[in-house]
Amino acid sequence: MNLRVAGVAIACACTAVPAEADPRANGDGYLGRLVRDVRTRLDDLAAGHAPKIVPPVPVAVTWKQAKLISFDPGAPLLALMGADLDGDGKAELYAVTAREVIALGWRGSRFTELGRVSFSGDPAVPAPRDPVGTVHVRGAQLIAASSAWAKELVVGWNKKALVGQLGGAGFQRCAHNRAALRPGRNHFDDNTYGKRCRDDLVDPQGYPLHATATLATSGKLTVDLEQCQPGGATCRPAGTYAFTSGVAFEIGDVDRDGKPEVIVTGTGAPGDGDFVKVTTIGGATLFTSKPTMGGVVGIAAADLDGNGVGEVVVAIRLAGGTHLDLMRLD
Amino acid sequence: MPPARDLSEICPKRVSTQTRSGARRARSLTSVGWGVCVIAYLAVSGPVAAETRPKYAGKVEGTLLGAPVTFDPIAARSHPDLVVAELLFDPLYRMGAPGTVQPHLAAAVPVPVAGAARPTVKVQLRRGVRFHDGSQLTASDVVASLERARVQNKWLLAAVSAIRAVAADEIEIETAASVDLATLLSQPATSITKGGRDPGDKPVGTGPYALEALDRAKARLTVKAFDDHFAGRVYLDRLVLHWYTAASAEAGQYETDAIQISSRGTAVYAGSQPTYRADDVEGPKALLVYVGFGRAHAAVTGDPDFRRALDQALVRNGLAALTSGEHVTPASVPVPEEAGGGVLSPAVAAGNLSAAQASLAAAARRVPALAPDRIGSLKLEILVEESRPDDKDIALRVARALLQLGIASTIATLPAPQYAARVRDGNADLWIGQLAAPVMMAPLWWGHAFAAGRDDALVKSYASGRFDAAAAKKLFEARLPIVPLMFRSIKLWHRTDIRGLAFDAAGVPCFAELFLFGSPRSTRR
Repeated sequence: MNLRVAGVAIACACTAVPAEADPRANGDGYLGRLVRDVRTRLDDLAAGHAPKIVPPVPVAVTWKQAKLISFDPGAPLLALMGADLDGDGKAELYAVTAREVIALGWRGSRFTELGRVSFSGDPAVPAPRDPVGTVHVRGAQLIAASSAWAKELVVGWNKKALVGQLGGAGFQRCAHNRAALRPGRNHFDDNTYGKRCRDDLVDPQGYPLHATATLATSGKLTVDLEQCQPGGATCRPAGTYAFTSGVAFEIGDVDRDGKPEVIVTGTGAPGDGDFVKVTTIGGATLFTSKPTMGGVVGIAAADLDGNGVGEVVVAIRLAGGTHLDLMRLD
Repeated sequence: MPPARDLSEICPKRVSTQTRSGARRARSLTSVGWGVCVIAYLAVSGPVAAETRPKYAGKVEGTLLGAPVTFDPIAARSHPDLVVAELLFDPLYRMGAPGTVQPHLAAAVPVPVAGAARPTVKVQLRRGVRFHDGSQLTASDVVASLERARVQNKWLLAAVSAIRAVAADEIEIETAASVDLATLLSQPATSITKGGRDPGDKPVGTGPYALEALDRAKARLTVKAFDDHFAGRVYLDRLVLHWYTAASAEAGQYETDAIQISSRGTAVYAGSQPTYRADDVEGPKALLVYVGFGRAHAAVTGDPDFRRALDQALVRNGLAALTSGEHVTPASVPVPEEAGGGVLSPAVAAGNLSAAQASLAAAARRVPALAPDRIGSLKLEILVEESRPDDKDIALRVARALLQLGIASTIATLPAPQYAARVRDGNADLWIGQLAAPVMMAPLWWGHAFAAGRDDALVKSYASGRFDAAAAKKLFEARLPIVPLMFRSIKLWHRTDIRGLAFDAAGVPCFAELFLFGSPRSTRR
C-alpha cells in the first residue's frame, strides 16, 4: 500500500516533469531504481487496462486550396477551433470573435452557421487595442475567452441549441494552462501570443502523442511532443521542434501518419498579405498556400465532414474589416 | 448590456476617406433628423490584429497642423487642439469613421429610465478606468465635466437639463427632449477631465497618452504612453508632434528623417528625395476653413449684408490649389457634402461681384463706414495663425475679395496664443478659422458653425430636440455667422515602417493606433 502511494506520487512527478530533468531519478541510487520500478509497474498496470494500441492508417492528402464559406461574424475573429461537441461524428468549427462564439458546420450539403452565443458580463478593463482570444475544448464544452470581456464563455450544446454560461477570469489555453494578459497589452504575461495543446494524436505505433505548441512574442513557435502510455498515464518527452509563425498556427495529423503536421502563417505586419504553410514536424514543407490578400487570423484542423480524414481550415480577414473567408487546404 | 464594440474600431486600419455608401448613409441620417440619429452598431472596421501583432516600443516624430492653444477639451476648436484633446482625454462615447457611435468611457449605450417625468437615461461607466495620476475615474468626475461642458458650450448639451451621479459608476442625464445623447457625448468637448476642471497647463486625463512636455519655443509637444489606459496601452512609448511656420520646413524635416510623419509632403524641392520612402494616408474632408468675424469694427463686420457681400465676392475656385496634395472642396455652407451640404456650383465658386456689390450697397444703407464716400478710408485686419501657413494664402484671397469691394485690408500673422486670445475676445475684424466635426453629422456642423460665429440662434432648436437642417440652413444664410471657404482633408505622409495610421470621422489622426513594424525603406537602391 505504501509503495503504491509512493509510486503514485513519484509517477505524478514523472508525468509532470520529464524524468530526464531530475538526475536523481536517472541514477542508480535507491530513488532512481524506485522511479524505474514504479514507472514499469505503472506502465504494466496501465497497459493492462489501456485502450488497445491501434497504429494510424496513413491517408493520401491532396493539398488544394478552396473556399469553404465567406461570412461576416460582425466582430474580429480571435480564435478558431474544430471539435465535435454535439457528438454527431462530425466536428464543428468554432469561431471566437471579440463578441461571440459562432458554431459552423455541415448541415446537409451546406456548410453554414449552426448557432452563436454572446460573451456577457463586465467589459475587461484594461483591454488591449487589438483584441486577443483563446479557445479550449474540455469534454463536451468549449471554453472561449475574449480580451474585451472580463470572464470566459463556456459553450456547449443543449439538445440542438448552442448555449453558453459565464466562465472564470483569465484565458484557458490548455487543460493545465491558464494565463492572463499583460494588462492592456496584446500578449500574455509569459511573453507569448498563444498556446495550443492536442492530446488526441497518436504516434506511428498508435501510442498517444501529446503536442504543445507555444508561440512567443518573438515569433518563435516551439512544439513539444510527448509520447504517452495508452490512457495517457505517463508521458515521456519525444522531442522539441522550433518554427516561425504569425499569430495563427495549428498542429494536427492530417495525413494520419503518426507524425504531426505544423501549420504556420507569415510573420508580416498586420495588414499585409499572408500565407499558410503546412510542414512536417521535421520542417519539410508539405504545402504552401497562395499569398492571401488579408491576414490569416485562425487555423483549425479537424474532421469536419466525418469521413475520418482531417481538414485544415484557415480564416482570412482583410485588415480593417471583420469579413472572413474560410478556406480549406485539403 | 449590449455587446461591447472593439475600441480600435474607432480608427480603421485602412484609409478612412468616405465611401459612396457612407455618403448615402450620411444623407439618410441627415434626412431623418437629429432625434433619430441612432447609434448604429455596424460592422465596418476592425483592429490591427492580423498576421502578427504590433510590438510595444519606439518613438515617432510627427506633425500637427498648427500650434495647440489649449489643453482644455471644451475650448478645443482648431484641428491641433482636437488632436491633442484626443491624445490626452476620453469622452464617454467615440464616433468611428463610418459615423457609428461606440461606448468608450461608458460601458454601454444610454439606457432610458422608465417612469421618469422627463426623458432620462442612465449611463453605466466602465469600471477600473484611471487618470494619468493613477486616481480612479468616478461618476463625479464625469458629472462635473459634463456640467462644465453644458455651461460653456451652450448648444451642444442644450437639451440636457440635469446631470447627476447615481452610483460610483453610473450617472443619470435628464433631457428636455428626446435626443441622441451618445452622439453628443462623443464630441471632444464632452471629454472627461479630473474633477471636471479646466486642465490648465498640467492636463490630467484618462487618454491614451500623458503629457510629457510642451515646448512652445521649439514648437513641439511630447506625449508618452499611458500604461494604464483602459482601452489598452498604445504601442509607441513616445510621440513627439511638431508644428511649423513654413510648409517647406515641415517637408524638409521629413526629407532628412527628423520627422517621420509629415502633412506637407516629403521633400522641399520637386525631384529631391527623402532619406526614406513614404506611404500616405488621407482622411475625410472634415476640416472646414472659414472666415470669422470679430468686433473691432462691429458695425461693419456684424452686418449680414457685409458678410454676404464678402461671401459673394470670394473666388473659391482657386482655393483648391492651396494644398499639399490633399483634397479640397470649396464650400459656401458649413456642412460637408457627405452630410447633405451639397456641392458648390461652378458659378458660385467663381464669385459674383455684381451681386456682392449689391449686397454691399444694402449694407451701406445701415453702416455709414460702408458708404461710398467713406469706404475708401476703411481698413480691416485679417488675423492668421502663424503656424498654419496655408491660412496666409487663404487670407490673401479674402483680402482680394475685400479689395474688389473697395475695402482695404491688412493681414496680421500672430503666434497661436495671441491669435486665439484676440479671436476669443473679438478683438479682430476677420480671421481665418478652422472647424472639425464628424463628416456625416449635419447637426453637429450647423451647431459648430453658429458657435464659431458666437451666434446662439440655433440653441433653442437644439434644446427642444427638434433640429431641422432646412431651417438651420435658412437661418445661416440670413445671418452668416461665419463665411465658409472650403472643406479639406488631411493627408499624412509617413515612413513605411510606421503602421496603423488612420483618421477618425472628424479627420483627426488616430495617433493612438500607431506602431512601428520592420525597418524603413530607403529611397536609395
